[in-house]
Amino acid sequence: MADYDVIVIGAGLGGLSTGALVSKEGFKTLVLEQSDIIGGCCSTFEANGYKFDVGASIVEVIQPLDRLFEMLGGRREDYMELIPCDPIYSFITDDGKRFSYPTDIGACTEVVKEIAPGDVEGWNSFCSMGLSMIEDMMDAVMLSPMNTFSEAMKVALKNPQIIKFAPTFLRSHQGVVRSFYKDPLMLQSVAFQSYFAGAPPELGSGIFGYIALSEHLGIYYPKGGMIGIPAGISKAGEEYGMEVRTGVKVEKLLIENGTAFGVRLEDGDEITAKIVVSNLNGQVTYLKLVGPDRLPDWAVKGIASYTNSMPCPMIYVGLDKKPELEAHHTIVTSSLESMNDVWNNYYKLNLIPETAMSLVCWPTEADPSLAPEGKHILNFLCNAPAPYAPIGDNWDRLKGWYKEAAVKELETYVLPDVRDHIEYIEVSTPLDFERRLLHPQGGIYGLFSDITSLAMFRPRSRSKAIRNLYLTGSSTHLGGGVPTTIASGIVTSKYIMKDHG
Amino acid sequence: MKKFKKLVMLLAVVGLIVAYMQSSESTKRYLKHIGKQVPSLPYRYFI
Repeated sequence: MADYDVIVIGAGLGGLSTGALVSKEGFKTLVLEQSDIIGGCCSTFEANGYKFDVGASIVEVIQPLDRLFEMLGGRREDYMELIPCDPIYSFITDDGKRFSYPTDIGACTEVVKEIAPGDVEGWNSFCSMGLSMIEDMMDAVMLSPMNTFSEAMKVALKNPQIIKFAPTFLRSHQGVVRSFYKDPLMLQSVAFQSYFAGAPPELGSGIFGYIALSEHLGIYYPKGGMIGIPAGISKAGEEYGMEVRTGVKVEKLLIENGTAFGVRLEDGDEITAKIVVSNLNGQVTYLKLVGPDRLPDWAVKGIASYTNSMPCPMIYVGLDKKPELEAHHTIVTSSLESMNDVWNNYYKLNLIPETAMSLVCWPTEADPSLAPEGKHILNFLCNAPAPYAPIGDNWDRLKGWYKEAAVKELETYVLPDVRDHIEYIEVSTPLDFERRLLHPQGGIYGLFSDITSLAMFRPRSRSKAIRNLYLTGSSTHLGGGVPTTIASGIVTSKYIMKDHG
Repeated sequence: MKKFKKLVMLLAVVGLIVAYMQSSESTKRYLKHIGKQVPSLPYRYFI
């Protein structure tokens, strides 16, 4: 008899969501996390009295999160406090211009009138098209299993209103935003979000072109740090008996006759289960935990054909002074062309970009309790991709270079005397992300996301190569991001219930 | 009828080539990127 009904490898949002949902259905579930903290990319760690977020800095599109708690028979509000952040962004352009986008669409229209009067009509069309798309597609696409053409067809036939949005999927992010806007400033304010899905505007899927609108439905920061979200899901799962063990690394999947039946841990212990769910990167799951020798050729070709999403360094700063910022997120941005240029002329050539295209996150604005009294935190995400193996350089040296680049940028845009007020500063490099999150080459958004690697072209939630193996998280369904990984957790639990419920 | 079909096909192919040639460098890079992924799609679909 198996030790557990379900073993989930990885306590990221996808793994915890799947684990909690199947626990509620009576499955004896064990979640194994190699790190000492849960949450994966959506987590928080403590250093020198400051609480820094590992990667994810806000949650938007909270419907999947609410739906998850509904399915768990509870209310999200009982498990975590989400603090609304308004304005969504404050922008600083490379020529020093500053403006902010408030959450309210009407108020934002007034900002658009000021910065790009010629694009007000485009903004109105963007809102009208985008809001109807978000409303129509939320349940239909985000929370529906779509591993196969027939499942996708079923979704389309059941929700014919979504068919009109099909061209959006075929276009690039840049193609979508250019169809609404002409003004360079307006374009750059809605184009950089493609990097949130790990791709430059000219390659990212058109569907991500609407991230700039979905943010107006509200962006939120969990009290206590981003770990508040996985901690809330974990707590809900534990109420149904889900067990979570941290600091436990899985070395191999136990497989017999093409069927998964448990895991072997790094210390040699084996734990058996009827079902194994992997929340790890798809390539790590198949090529390391399963192993190419236990996979059919087509499966090896399939999984090896994906590229990983971009790595980008993150700098964690603890300050003893309030920064001169206006919003939770401040974007130091540049033209749409330079966003593509960073990808084509630096990242693809394994060169370190000259610009960081930074996203400065100020979490202590929403939750002062993250830092000692009167002190503040800035999480500085280099939105420009950095190569894993830079030519003629190494990350030991670059760590210092990035630290200095971040401080210079903070001096220029945020706090002129920042050097005198830094109490803590640390850099997380692609190598650190690789070790911490087990994402090959430190690609923080999992596998690269475009139209050829989403939904039915992303590794299936229910493995076809190995029976009783399921995938969840950023490597499956709709890719990386807080709402999408939670949605993948819901979808994977639906497959498990269908097969074993 | 057969000749007409061939002509339509030919015109469609020529039209696509002309559209590609006239598109921006950025669009060309997008199409090239997608084109490179196409051979992997049958494998990706089943994994």
